[in-house]
Amino acid sequence: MKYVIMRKIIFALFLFVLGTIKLSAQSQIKGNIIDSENKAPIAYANVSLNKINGTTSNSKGEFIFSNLKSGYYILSVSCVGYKLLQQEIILDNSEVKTIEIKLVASNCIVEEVVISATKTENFINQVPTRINLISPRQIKSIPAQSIDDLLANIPGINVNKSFGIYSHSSTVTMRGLNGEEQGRVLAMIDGIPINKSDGGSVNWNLLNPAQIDRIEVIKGPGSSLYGGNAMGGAINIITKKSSESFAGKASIDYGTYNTMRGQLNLNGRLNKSQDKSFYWNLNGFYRQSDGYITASEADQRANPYIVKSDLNELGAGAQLGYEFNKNNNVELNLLYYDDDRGAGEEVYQTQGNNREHDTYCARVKYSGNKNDLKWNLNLFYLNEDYKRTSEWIKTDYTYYKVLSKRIDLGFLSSVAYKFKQQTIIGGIDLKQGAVNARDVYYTSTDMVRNKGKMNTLGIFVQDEISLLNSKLKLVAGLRFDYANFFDGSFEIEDPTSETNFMIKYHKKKLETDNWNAFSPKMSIQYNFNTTHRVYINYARGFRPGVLDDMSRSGRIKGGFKVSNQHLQPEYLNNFEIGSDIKIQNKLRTSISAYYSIGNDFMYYVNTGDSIELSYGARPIIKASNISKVAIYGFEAEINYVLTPKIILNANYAYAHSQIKDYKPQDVNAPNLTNKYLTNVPNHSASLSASWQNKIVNTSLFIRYIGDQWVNDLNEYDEMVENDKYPDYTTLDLKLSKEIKTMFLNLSIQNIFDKTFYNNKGAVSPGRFITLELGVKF
Amino acid sequence: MDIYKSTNMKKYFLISFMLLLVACTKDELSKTNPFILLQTGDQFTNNGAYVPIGGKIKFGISAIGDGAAITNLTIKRITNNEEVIEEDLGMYVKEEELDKIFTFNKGSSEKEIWEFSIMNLHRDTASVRTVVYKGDGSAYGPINYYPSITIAYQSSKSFPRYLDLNTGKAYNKQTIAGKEGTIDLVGYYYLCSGKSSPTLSCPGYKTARIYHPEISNWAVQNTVLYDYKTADENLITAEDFDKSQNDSLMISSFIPDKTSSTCKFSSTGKIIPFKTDKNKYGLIKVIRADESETGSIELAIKIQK
Repeated sequence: MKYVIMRKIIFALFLFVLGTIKLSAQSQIKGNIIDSENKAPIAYANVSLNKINGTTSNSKGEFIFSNLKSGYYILSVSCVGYKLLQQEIILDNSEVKTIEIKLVASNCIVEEVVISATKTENFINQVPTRINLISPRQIKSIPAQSIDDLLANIPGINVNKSFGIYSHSSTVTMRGLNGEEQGRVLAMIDGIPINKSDGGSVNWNLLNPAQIDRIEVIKGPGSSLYGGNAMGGAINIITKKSSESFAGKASIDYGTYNTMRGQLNLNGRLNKSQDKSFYWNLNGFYRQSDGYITASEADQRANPYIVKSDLNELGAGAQLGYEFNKNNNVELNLLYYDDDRGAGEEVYQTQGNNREHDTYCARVKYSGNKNDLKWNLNLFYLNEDYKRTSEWIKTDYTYYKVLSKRIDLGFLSSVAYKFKQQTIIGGIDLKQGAVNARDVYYTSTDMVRNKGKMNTLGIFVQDEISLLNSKLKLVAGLRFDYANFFDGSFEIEDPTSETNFMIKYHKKKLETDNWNAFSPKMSIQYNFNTTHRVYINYARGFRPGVLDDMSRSGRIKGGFKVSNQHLQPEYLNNFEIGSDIKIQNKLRTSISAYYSIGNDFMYYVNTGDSIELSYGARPIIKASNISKVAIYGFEAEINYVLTPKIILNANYAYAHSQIKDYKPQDVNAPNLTNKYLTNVPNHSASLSASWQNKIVNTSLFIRYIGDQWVNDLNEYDEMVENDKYPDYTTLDLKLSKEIKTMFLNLSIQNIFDKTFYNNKGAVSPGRFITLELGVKF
Repeated sequence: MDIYKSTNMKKYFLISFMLLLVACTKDELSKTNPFILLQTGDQFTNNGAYVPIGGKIKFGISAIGDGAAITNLTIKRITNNEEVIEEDLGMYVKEEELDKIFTFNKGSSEKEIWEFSIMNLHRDTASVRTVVYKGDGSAYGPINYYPSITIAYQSSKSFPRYLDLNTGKAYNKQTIAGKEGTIDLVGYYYLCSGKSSPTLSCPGYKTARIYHPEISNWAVQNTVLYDYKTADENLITAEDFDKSQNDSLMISSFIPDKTSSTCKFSSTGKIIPFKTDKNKYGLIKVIRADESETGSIELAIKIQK
């Protein structure tokens, strides 16, 4: 039945795509960007037309703008390490203009165009908030095994991943928010949210880093545009688009723990020279690894069934786009991902304890513009079939599976209108999140089911105003979200001692509830000149409760969790001030300071009742909106373009996160007032150097992560043998060499082989080396 | 538009669409027929037998999983008043036949229906029943009583740390050699989610081996089941414990379907029913439980002979 519905949705999307394809003839600008000295093509340069249309050059330095009207245009081309180039172009009707752009090397900093912070294109220094851009050049230089690795060197970003590529989940948070809660930061692929409504989690393995063009990280609340989850910030992963007739890339890599990966990308563009154009991209990767023993030494001694945590994963994607009729574009993206990650224990089952995420994602985007009006419509469908196998022997054998179907789908829209010095953008978002999960026991008769859905309607409007000859910029926005929880149930079938302790929570129909949230934003920026800006902003963000907390009861660390259908959103009010100064166009310093007050933060709290679990009475706990949190901190970053080929970066972030008020529901429960948030480093810093040269391109990253509280009580933890995780420093290196169409990459993460532990005493993978050999065609 | 190109484009979409549908197939397990029977003969309690209260009941079962591993065996005692799960065992018996013998004690009901069910990896089930009636008289058995035994937590060096519940003898690291297979009980102390937790456990429990890592090297690691409902709800008083002269209280106070696995929080004053690997019932009275990992725990123990 579920698959029938899925097929219907896919079929509807399919018909939508076919139905919207129309054709007509328009003008075109295409070009080739090269280095003025050595004539080498310049890849991933930013190219914009009248600051409305934007693209990047491909690996051969080529770019194309299709479906243009006749008229006068200003073409801007920028790239790190080169001087900005602007060129006037007059285009006749149905004309195809081919130009060659020669960029002159410069050891100056070039501002790049970003879109995520305002949903409109702006130079990064013209958005009155803190944005970090991971450019195509940086993506090539970072020794990353997955997307979250790319984010780890950004100031204030906290990547929590215990087992490297073997981690079944990774959490990326920012600015002092708890390092175990992904739901407080929104993640998107091409503007489409990928946080699951079930738990707020993000599968950072979903995309291969090779598919990514750039990543925009917006610090601070982004709920005024994006709604829920964007409470602490938003991360938009922008994938590559094809601009060549035909291109491809294939590679294999081999590394530590017998890790092997193959990657293939084929892309092309049909009718490249005509007004209408069909582009496509097919990509896939497969990776397997023997893995390593993640269990602590004590666990290894106590448990004879410990095995290596291994890995098998497969990803495939398809992008089909069509540009037609006056700046209109429709694009279909399909994504498939399937993994099997061992959890390090195997008794009788072939795969042992493991986790799988079978993911299907479909996105349809229609965007266009006419005169000063631009619109963007998106349909998306994200299905994750999460499967967890657990088996162990204590007194007897226990074997059960968790099968959870998590679906998020929706319609996202925005319309922008530019007039005089203003751009007004508004839109409506409709989203539904659903979970339908069951725990199936094979060594007893029990079966536990939970399900629930949440519908969300969001309406937003934002105004960008430039005053005083663009010296002053104001951005004001407001979003309203309304959501309701419904169709929830929690059922236990054929209970035995495995589940009979929770039979009182069996409910065929859980209560429904609804909530709404207002998310305002106000930002002001003043440009003293082209090299110095200062901004202040206020924004409010929220994070909704997750379906897992609203519909599922069961054992969790510290007790027994009962579902709470009446969870309200938690809020973060953020005040921020920041400034950027460029010195001689070679050095840029960026400083931001923020103060955030979090209200109604969700915490698992004791209800005062207890329940008999297998080892005695344990507290019954419930996710509740009970705490007030104060977070303050600052970030400082220095970028220095020593020469066009050598770029240096240093950054430091400080975060202080403390619970200021906590209302336990049980007088005997611990009061967390004045305790610090867990998994948040007070201090973190990064140093990096990237050197492009004729022999071998070299990048070096040194990252320091300060100590972090292990548990909510800020008390001694027997597994970690401390109240804090100790601080650590890692050094990563990447060496790259291209010879004609061949390329070779050597990535070394954690050169010093630093080992660190999580709160279960499990160990990190240590030094991780991969060597990649590939060919471009 | 070129019709040929349009047709090609539709093909691309169609192929993508078909690939997606193919990927959406479900795993289905076929129906199997596991089989279970009760063994008969003089050594077993047969259908319709009369057994005095407290007397031994012995069953033998044989089962096959029909090509799928047997993963569960459940034994229920059904009386007029209630249905009690006496055994709920997870297992993985893949190809060979399952043969297992169980002993219980006759309860106070006139008629007991005993139901034996197995489940295989496909979650297909089979069951068989037998009836046992109450015979004349009583057959409660004698007990051993050990009024004071002190064992050490993980970081204490003052007391022995491994206890044989049958004999009441405790051993330390130096004296344990050759006796490992007799050990039923060890103690340790830790903070569980901030809560002080003096704990009794057994060599077969994984966490116990973390606190007493030398146990990992033992060839035999016995397990003991503790009843937590009786203990946590204080259903037996210290006076009940002191008065008991035979195994009646030990049998009746151990409630199998409420049984924990293999460890128990054991604060001072608690009376904890238990059942050993060798199916012996007993009671522990916690006389004193220190709240420090360098401390110890003092126990009084009564156990079936």
